[in-house]
Amino acid sequence: MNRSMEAHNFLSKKGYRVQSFGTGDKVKLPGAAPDRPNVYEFGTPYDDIYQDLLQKDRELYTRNGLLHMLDRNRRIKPHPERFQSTTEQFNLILTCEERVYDQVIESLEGRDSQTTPVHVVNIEIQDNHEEATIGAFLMCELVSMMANSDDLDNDIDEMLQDFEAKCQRPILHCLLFY
Amino acid sequence: MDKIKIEKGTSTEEQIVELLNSAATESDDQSKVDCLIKIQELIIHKEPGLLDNFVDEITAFQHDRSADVRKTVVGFIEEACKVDQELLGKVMHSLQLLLNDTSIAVLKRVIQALTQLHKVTLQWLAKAKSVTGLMESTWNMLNQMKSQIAKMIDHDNDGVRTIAVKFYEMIIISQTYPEPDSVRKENEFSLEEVPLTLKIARPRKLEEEAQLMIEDLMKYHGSAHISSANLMACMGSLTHIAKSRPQFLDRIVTAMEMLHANLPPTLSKSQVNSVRKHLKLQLLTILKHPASHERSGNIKTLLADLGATPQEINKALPSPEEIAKYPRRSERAEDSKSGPAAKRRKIEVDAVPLNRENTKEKALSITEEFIVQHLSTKKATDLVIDALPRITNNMPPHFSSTYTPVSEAGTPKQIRHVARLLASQMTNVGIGPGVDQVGYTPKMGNDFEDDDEEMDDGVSAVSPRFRDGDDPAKPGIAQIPPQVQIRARQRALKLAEIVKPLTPQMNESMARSALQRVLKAERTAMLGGVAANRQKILASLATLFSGDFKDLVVEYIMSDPRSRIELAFSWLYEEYSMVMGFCHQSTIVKDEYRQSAIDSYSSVFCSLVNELKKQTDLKEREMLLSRLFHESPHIPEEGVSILRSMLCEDAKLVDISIQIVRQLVHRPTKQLVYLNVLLEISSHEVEEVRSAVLSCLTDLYDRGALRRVIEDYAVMYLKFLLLEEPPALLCGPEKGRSEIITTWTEEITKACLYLFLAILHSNEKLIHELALVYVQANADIKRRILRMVEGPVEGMGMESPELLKLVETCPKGAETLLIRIIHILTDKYPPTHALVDRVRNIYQQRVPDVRFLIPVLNGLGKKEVLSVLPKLIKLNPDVVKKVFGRLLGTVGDSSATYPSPLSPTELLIALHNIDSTQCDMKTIMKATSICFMERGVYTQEVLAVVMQQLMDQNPLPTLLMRTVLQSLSLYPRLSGFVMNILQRLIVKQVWKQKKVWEGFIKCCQRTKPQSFAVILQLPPQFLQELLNTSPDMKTPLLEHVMAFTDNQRMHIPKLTMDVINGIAQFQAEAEDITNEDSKDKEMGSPEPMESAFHGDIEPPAPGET
Repeated sequence: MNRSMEAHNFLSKKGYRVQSFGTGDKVKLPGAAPDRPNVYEFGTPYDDIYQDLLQKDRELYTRNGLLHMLDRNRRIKPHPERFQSTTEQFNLILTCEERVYDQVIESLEGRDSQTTPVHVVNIEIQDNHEEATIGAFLMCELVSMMANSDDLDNDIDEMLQDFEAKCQRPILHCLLFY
Repeated sequence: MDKIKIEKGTSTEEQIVELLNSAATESDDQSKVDCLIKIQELIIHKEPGLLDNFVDEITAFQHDRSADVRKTVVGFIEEACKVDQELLGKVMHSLQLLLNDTSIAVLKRVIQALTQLHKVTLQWLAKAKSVTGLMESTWNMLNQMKSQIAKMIDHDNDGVRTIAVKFYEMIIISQTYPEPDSVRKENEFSLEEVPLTLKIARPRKLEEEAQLMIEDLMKYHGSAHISSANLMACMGSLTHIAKSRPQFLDRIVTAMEMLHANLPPTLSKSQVNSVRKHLKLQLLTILKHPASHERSGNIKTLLADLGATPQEINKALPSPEEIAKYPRRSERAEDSKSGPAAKRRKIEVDAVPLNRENTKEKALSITEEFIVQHLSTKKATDLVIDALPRITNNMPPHFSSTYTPVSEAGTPKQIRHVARLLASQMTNVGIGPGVDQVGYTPKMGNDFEDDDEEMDDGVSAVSPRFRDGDDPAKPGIAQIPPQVQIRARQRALKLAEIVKPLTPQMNESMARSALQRVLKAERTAMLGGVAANRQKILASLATLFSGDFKDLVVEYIMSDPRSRIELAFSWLYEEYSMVMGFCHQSTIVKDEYRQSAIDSYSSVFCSLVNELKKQTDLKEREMLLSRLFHESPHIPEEGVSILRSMLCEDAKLVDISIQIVRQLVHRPTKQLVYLNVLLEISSHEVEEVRSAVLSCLTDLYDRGALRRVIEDYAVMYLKFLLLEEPPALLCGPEKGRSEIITTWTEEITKACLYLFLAILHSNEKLIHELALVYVQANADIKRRILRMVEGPVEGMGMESPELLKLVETCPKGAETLLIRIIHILTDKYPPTHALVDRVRNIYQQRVPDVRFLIPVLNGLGKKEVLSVLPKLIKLNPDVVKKVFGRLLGTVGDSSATYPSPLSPTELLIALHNIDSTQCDMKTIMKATSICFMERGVYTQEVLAVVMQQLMDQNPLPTLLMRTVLQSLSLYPRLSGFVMNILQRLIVKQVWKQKKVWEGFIKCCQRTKPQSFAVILQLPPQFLQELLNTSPDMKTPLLEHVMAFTDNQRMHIPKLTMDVINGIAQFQAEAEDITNEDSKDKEMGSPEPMESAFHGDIEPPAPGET
């Protein structure tokens, strides 16, 4: 909701066709204490979450930036979406965390195996606001490199190696099929 | 969209027609694609009935220029065929064409479509009640494409390979039978659906084909140079196959184990991470499948190795109930001995012995067993110790990322795992008991020959089987499966595929560091005894590279030029060979390359020279510079200009550069070039440079080399003097004159003369040129020429025939030059006879200028000298002085005493005797005083002789008394002699010559009181006259007389006494006029007294009184 939405925002402004998803069972947001997160169902509008948090502890959620984030998100799309539920096909799936990468692969593996290739790439980005912003830039750079390639399937190996050397973060990549 | 909305009312068909038209006319590719997609939507989802009508129109777009449009067409065909299988026959041909498309994107799309359509086709065939001709040809076509795509697993493009892998997967799944525990998916097709009766596609044949294909796929999976994306696609496909067709699961797990132990070396660190992760996920997926139960031990160890947590593994394990649902395959195989399944199984088992993978597996397990038995702690220790020396110093990059701590070290389970890992590696390279027993030969990806053999084996082994079981009546079909096998199954090492061209920067930086390493290896090469090879390598490298690299090598050489100069030469020769086309590389060298080779050579040469110039060790620098110039195969023009600048710019380098050029001038082909260098600098402003060059040039000239060129050049410069203003080429930094000089200054005039005068000595004929130029030159220049000509002419000597010739033929106007030359020549040596003759000739016949004669005066006869003397003394006093100097031998070296035609005495006498008509008295007086100034020559003795001789003349020379007076003033000691003269003058009746008489009186005045004795001897009237003229003498004279004794006084005539006493003045005067005749008589009388008086009176010297 933070990193992916930041990237979604940034990439769509650059004119790419982007969608953003979560992979967990529920939408979880930090709460008043580490053991008491705010949990919502996918499909709960950002607006509702926003109102909910506003009412719960306006001061806390303003301070930790959640309200600001939700405000941004509700202007991008109405509600959080779950990757496993979408049937849409993509050319490229970017993840920001190895756990999510695994879940995406698991989800795609479970589908009816077809022939359309999709590249799944993971760039490690920590879940905080600053990293999310940096991450969005990195993703945008990677995406623009890929978009400029005439033959992505052929170039991606090299491209990722270059990119990895440049951004100094571990990259995971695999090729799956719809 | 708008259009569609407007046309909503119209029928679908009309809309499609409309869209087709706009697609055909649309120029924009994207709009075409949009139209086609709309058509596809309309037809397939709205009115499938229209498909048949329009399919031709749409497939017509397969020839469109745009790859996107062609891709869309493929998509349409795919969808259309899924809806209506009957269309397959119609479109297969189009797909075949598109499969050969040049666009990678279209190609991939076609393969994707075929992956789907293959299944559809099989379904179509399976359902067909009878096989039509169309079906048969479609199937044939599909088979051809199948073999074509199978080959694409070795395609150059990564993406195409990936899609080809998926195609394999699909064929393998759809051409095999499912098992009870197979994971079934929607739309899945399997051989179960193919009736055994289908003739054109026999299930058995199809299954065999699938068997071969999975073998290929696994081989591809294990190949050493597989790319990361392909590998992951492959792993994914194998996992799918394992799940859908558990009969392959065993082999697939083995393949993955092998992969884990032998990851492709080409993968980068992060790719290794990705692959390992993917492998983990795939294994977890397999583990979930109940059929993996038998291998779950292996899989779990592998997973642990790959970093999976026990929780993850446990989560993936199927529940015991699930496992129990499916009987073990081994048991199951025994169970099912009846029914159609048994028959299928049999076929499968039949196929197995052919399968290399199975052989391999068997070998692997035998070896594994062997190792488990033998892997004691001691063995393990020995192995580790043996391996230690081979461990690299640095940890390989992917070791650290792949290493996971050994969790259960020493347990039987772990030993087994290690044994399996070892076994798989050993089997892979073809060692171990298992290999020996089973006869398995490894097929390494990089071992081509093995692969070829193996492929041949495969073909020969399979083909007979086809022939056995097949209907020979249909050879066309029978041939297809072999075609599938025949495709290049070996994974050849395609360099272009696994290596990417380096970026230019990378390329350059690597080349640079390689060069630097070679440069650094000097010592090592020397120690290793390959210094010469290294030099050769460096020379070749430096020659082949350009720019920076050359600089690097130059820099390297210059850091120790003395010992590395050989490298420089070797390099220069290499470059030269390029230029001349000696090298084998240069066989392709064309003219344009030749030019660049020439440029390269000269730039190398110049940078070497320039760098050498900067060296600080002077001696070394000189030595190396001259070596470089002398030993290089060729000196480019730029090198010559550097040499030139060295000559005229750097004073320290002048000597060495002149030496260099001097040597180089002897190279025949380039003689003129280097000579020109010298000649140009011969007029250099700086003395040192010029003199060095000039001496070099004269040396060359003297040796007779290039005489003509030097001469012409010298004369050309000489003739510059005739121009209005100095030519520009005399100025410029290379001449040491940075400013342009537009007037004939001293310096610039000289510049034109240096060379000429330098070689004049060697070729005296040139003097005529000089004379000609001199005649025409202006006064300033003439003067300068006169000044400069001294040295060279001196060197010529008087005997020079050319000089004499010049004297003879002296061009009009060159007289001054000639005089100057003669002067110079005679300065130190007496003129030779020949010279004198010629000069005399000129004087007498052509130029009556007395100055001509001056230099040769000493060579002339006495008479001649005397005859020109009046003219000579009329010249400028300085000249007169010189003339006298010559005559008197006082000019020049004191040693140079040569006979003069006139002795000093003669000269002075001659002067006195010059007729006053020829020369006025003043001039003569001046001339005589010049003589008097030469006190070294005109000593009192000489003067006494002169006076003596003059006294003997009659009449007395006018200047006699002047000379006497002067002599007296110069030499007071002469006073006695002078008294004598005075006395004799009285005898000679001095009073008769007015001038002399005046002088006499003056002299008497000067020499009083000594002169009194003489005065007293004068006849009284002249005494009176004398006293009148100088009254101051009267009193002293009177006193003098008074001081006499009476006896003495008695000797004084009465008249004289009267005069002294002031009496009878008038008489005296009267007598002076009247008694002229009596003078002679009177004169005679006092004479006898002279000696007596003389003796008495003399002692008191004038100074003493």
